[in-house]
Amino acid sequence: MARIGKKGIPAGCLNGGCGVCKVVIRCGTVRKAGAMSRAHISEEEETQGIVLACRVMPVSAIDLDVIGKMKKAVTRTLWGGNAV
Amino acid sequence: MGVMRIGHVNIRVMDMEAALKHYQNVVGMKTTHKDAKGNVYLKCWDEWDKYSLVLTPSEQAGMNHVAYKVEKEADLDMLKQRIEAYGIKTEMLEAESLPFVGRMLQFVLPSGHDMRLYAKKECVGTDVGSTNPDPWPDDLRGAGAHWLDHVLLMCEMNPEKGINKVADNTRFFIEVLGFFQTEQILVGPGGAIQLASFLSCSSKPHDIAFVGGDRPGMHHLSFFLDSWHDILKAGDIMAKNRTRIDVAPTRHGVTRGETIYFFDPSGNRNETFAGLGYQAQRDKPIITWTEEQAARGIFYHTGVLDESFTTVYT
Ligand code: FES
Ligand SMILES: [Fe+2]
Repeated sequence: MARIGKKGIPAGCLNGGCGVCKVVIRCGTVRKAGAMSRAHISEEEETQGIVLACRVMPVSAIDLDVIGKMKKAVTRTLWGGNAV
Repeated sequence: MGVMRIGHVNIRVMDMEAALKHYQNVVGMKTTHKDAKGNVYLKCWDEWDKYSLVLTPSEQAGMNHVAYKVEKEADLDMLKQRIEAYGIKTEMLEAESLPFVGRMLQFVLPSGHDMRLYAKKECVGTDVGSTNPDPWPDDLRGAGAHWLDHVLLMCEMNPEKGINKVADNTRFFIEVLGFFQTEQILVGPGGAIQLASFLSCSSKPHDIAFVGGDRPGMHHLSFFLDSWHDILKAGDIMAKNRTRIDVAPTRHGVTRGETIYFFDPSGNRNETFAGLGYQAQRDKPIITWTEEQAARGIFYHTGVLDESFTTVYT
């Protein structure tokens, strides 16, 4: 789902390891399509519909909010003007 | 001093079958051992010791430990003393705590990463042998990586709180482990903050690298290839296998290396790295990249650094 780039979901490893694509499903259903790192999604979170977008497929129309994000502050200031 | 090279890295994978497909068919390693706990051990064709990669089944991605090989058993005792004198606790793990490896000196780096040193690992020879060898074997797969070349570790960096684990690790590697600095990225007022650090213990431009981020982790493990053409071919192989490529073939300013960044099926970043760039020597002036040119140091052609470089890692 992250690969589609909808809703401004950040795309990182696309393989469930890095956690940047973390979202919460507000309504609708998704199907799990691969392992999600427990470093980023706890069992409890999973039961609350918090998932890694790159590891789920939408089964219906869904509404979601992005939780994970690329941390801009550190890179922007430390890496100078060329970082985007 | 005794450290010769990176010996192996132990990473966590969430799907062993997919991981093996990746490291065998895309990177081109061969499985040399599997243990009762489900760990799988692999080596590249041009390596002579039993393995350079240990895959551990896990519910998360990332690195368990990185190990470097020292020349002599006595180096372990000498380094144990030096590391402890520096104020870091160590433990000498007995032989065979990892299969085919002699005793291992374990300690935690200032950055929090688990590091090991060892002097002995079973030697099985390269795939072309040591007597009148051919330049490459006939059964190369995938990218046909020669060897595990280096790792880049993400280290906590928070200038406001005065935390710079890149600089802390660098000092430890130089003063205690006998590495030398080849290149660095300096930022902030007067270039006071060492944001990235590249260190060698051989004649390669780097044997380990540290970059600042907001949590410790593994940025990538890197495999050596011969040439720019091999990098192109590796990219073809990744496309054929639908490997997630992070950064398509390009050149680093730092080390002059030719590179592809890509992800294994658990999201651990890999690199294929070609060109030895230059000969690293202890008396060569240290190369410094400044804040304005930091991004060009990382990706020389575009001079553009996507924020995922310092955000996406395991
Ligand atoms: S993009 Fe890395 S976990 Fe989804
Ligand atoms: Fe690298």
